[in-house]
Amino acid sequence: MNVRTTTAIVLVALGTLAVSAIGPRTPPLAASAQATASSDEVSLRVIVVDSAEKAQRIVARLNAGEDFVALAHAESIDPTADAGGLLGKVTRSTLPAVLKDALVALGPGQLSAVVQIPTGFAILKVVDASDPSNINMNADTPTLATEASVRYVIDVSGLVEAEALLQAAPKAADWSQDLRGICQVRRQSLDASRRSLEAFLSPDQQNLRASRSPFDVMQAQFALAQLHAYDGRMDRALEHYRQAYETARAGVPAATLRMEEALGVAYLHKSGMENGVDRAPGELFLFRPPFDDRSGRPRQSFAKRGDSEKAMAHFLSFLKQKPDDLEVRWLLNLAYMSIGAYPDKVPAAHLIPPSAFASKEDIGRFRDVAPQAGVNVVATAGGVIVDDFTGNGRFDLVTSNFDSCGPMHYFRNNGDGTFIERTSAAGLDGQLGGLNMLQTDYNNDGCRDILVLRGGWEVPQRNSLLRNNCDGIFTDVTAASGLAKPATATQTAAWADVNNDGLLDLFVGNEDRAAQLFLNRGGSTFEEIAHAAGVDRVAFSKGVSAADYDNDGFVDFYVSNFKGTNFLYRNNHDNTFTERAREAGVPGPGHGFATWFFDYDNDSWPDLFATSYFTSVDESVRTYLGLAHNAATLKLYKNLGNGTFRDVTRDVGLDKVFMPMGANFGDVDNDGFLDIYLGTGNPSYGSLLPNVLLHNKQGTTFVDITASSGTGELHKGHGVAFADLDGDGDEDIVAETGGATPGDSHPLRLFENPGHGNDWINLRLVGVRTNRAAIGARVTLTVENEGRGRRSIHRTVGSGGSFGASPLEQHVGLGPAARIVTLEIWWPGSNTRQRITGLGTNQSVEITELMRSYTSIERHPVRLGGTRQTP
Amino acid sequence: MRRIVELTALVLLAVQASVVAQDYAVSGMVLSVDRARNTFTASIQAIPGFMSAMAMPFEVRQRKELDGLVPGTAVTFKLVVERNSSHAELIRIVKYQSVEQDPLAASRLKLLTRIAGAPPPQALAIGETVPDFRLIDQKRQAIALSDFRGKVVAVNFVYTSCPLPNFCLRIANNFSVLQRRFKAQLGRDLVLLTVTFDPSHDTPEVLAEYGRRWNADVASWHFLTGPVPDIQHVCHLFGVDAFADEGVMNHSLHTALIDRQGRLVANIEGNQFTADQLGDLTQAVLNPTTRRR
Repeated sequence: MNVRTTTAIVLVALGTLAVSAIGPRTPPLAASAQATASSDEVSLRVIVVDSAEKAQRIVARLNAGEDFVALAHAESIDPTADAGGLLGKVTRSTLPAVLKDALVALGPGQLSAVVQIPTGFAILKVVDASDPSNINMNADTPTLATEASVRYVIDVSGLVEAEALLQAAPKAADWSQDLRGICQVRRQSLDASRRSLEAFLSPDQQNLRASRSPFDVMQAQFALAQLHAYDGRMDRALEHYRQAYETARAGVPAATLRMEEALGVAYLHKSGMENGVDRAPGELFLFRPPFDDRSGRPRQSFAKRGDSEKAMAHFLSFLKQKPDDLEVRWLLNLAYMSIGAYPDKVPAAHLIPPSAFASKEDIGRFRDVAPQAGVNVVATAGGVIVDDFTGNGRFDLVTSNFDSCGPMHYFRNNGDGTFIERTSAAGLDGQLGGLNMLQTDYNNDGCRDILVLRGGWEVPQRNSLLRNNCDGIFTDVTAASGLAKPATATQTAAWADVNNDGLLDLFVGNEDRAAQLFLNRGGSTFEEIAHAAGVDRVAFSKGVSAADYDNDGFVDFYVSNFKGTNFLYRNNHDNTFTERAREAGVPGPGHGFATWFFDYDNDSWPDLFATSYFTSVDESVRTYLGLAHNAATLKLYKNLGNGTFRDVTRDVGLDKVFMPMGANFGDVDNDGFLDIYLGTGNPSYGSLLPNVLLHNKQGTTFVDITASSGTGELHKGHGVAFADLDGDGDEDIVAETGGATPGDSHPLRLFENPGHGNDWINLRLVGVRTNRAAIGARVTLTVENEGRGRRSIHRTVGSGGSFGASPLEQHVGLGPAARIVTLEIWWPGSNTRQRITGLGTNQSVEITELMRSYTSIERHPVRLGGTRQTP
Repeated sequence: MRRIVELTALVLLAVQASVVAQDYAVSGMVLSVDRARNTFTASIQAIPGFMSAMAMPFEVRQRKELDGLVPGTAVTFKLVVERNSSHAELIRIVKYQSVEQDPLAASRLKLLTRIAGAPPPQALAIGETVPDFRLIDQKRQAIALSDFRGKVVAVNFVYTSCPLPNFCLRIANNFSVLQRRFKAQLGRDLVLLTVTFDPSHDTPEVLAEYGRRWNADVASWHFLTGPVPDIQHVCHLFGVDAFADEGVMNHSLHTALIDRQGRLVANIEGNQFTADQLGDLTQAVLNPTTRRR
């Protein structure tokens, strides 16, 4: 065997796993700290060659005094060769971790060690910043492509296989309009291909298989394993993952490590199922590092340990060969956690210490009361809406289901801390599929309607507009209203009145297709005007948010795109919009997902929060360990009040990578500042990262309180809603928790807020000339807190972020010992301001546009699920 | 500029000092095969302590050693160097079987959909004439393959939002290296075509921006997109598979060369070759050595 070739293949094989520096290694933690300490800007030249040997020769020639520029011209394979290798001035923090580490402690004129990058082997030179040839680079040169070094999570779930089969399956014309038909095509394609694979791999097909390479046999075994895993048949799946592993060991050695990790992930997933985390998780698999367990009770851990132990064995075997792999190290720690052996039993070399997750603050522990409250729905990924669908003043709860065959669930609030499922009675039985949902009142009848969004991440399918008949029964009016065709792939939309005519219009962001803007033509039909409105840019959009960011009285839109830059559509007041994301300084982080406008610092100007969705466990673990990132972080853009925004991500401590999907905001401690909850993960069964609760400290920083609050669900976080479900004056958190495949279904979490003593008020606004749901109305509360001066708190009526829907009723935290000086409401439909004084705190009130008085909403605190467990 | 070096002088120079035969493990990319003369030319990786990376011809003792070799094939072999001669033996074709997630998934999905009954699209064989196709480039101008008859055409496939290292990034960089190496011939004798397999996202404007990242010369390096069926057709011609997966693509990698007569000369799968090797192959297609019997 040719040694050189083997090495080359291994290098390429490991390319995605880690881009490694060649030469003396600085411990990553130290490197990161030093990089932060030194100046952030640096001017660089680079030479890239295609082998390590060549690179060493270049280094020798440079050390012998040859000119860097001339050598770059002659030898570099980088696009900068013609420019003498000039990269220009770059910001260290935007560089991939490997380049960042290579530049640590280099001064002007100095050369880096040889660094392996995707296109070859690089030697960097720090040049004098005053070099006249210096230009500012936007870090968009391929050499600096930071995301090219991201280690993506291993794919164990079967979703990729299922989607490929769905796309390849024969379909009837207009199939995308028929929800049951979509389910059938999905099931048939899965069943048929599983049978074909089983036949291909059956013992009597030995001859057929013999003609196939070990590589193909491994792939077929893996594919069959994935199809079983898709449906959660983990015993069958493991049988085939194991055969794929054995085939790799015998005939595809380079794939053994990957198969080893897949086996570990599959065993860990099976272990969770065997121990019931997919049905009744309790506190199992809530992320609770032991340092934080103040209860004194023994920690819950899996009763059946065998599969977790098998997972550990595979992860340890993997780490023996590749000890630096953060993803597998993380999974190993989780497996130990699952059997209650973390951190004591974790081998020291692989331990991720509890200190990595310690919360610096504690506002109290939340408790999951979903089962007691009767909302123990087990489902795949989906949206969630909390709102009053019956008009009785109580918040009901609705979820959707990404699985093409999965139903919606509609829970009516019984008023006593429990809910009852009324899906069938509400006429929602046939509403299969749908990754996200929003409430609205498109016909201004005072009853909340539902929009279900479908096709997101997959193939175009129709949405559903479900009209609330004001009697607890919904009618599907999609086709009649003009929203059914063309079917698109979408999971994001925003309801907003773009022309202030009192009717809610609908902006739908689509995937790889132009957005749609549906102008409401009087409450029963819509007209699509995206092209005329100038918002029909084609993008892979994953989030849409609406707000009047320039405070000119007309609503604007922000669109978060998974590919390319985001869009900021400023309203021109004539049903047209101008895109100005770059001018306004809000291009987004790239790989955009959930997004929203909110006034995080209460300065009356809507700020912008935009998430970035890199499906990398490695990058998230880097956040916990304080290591440099290769993936883009979350983004927070502060509205400067002059039509532009400033990126304050680092200032407020949000320069973190969490793999966020569902996300929303609310005020968990009623201090008047809006906090953030992120549902995390991706379809892989290996994407087990805690959801994240970030506490907004007075509009200055966001502090991770996941561990102390006990809200770190490890399974997949989708739709998120903040709502005071028990009427006790603080917002609870509803987190839809299923994964993308039926085999990764999980129960919804309802995290009950422990309370904190701050004051609050609930505002239900009713529009008259404004749309009746009052979406877009602006609320300013001026309050005095004991011993402090006056301050203002600003809210805009809406359901919150783009993935999950909180009640339109605005719950506003007021801080300690608060007195409301004034409540001012600006109504967009009438362009009027309503001022209310003398409003008492800690109550729910209904305020109608243009009316002088307001009414109290009778609401009594209840205990969610009845009897509360003593902590 | 690298040249194809004549075998004897260099190799024999290197072994002057040695008395007995020496074996070297060599890996490289086949540039051309001359069955009549029992030789093949290859662009080989450096042999540590013996010679650096270069393109050169190798003789075989048995003609059947050349079976299955076509331009672009990755091979390993044993180079046996004796006092007055040298030859290659134990030639092994290195099949591209990446175990990285992206190509691994693409090849698995290809296998799965075939086993599940999808008709296998027939990719062109080496030597076949590439049927004409029409797409749109980054300047929104219609581009037909037949526009370039009489020139050598290099084709590769990417999608611009490809997030993984080693794939689209490396494949595109290869063409950026070709662009510099063949500056004089570009446009006149050589044309570069980079086809997206994500046409819904990769509009001409997106491709223009992407081209600027590589300093692409718009007159001779065309980034092509078009309607989905047209793109699929071109992908199938070259055996490119692409499956959408949560906004990204699981895809295979192909780099092809078409000669001046419009015939497919090489279709290299994967990324396990260097830009220099691709350059040597391009050089060989630009200037095929005509040998007399």
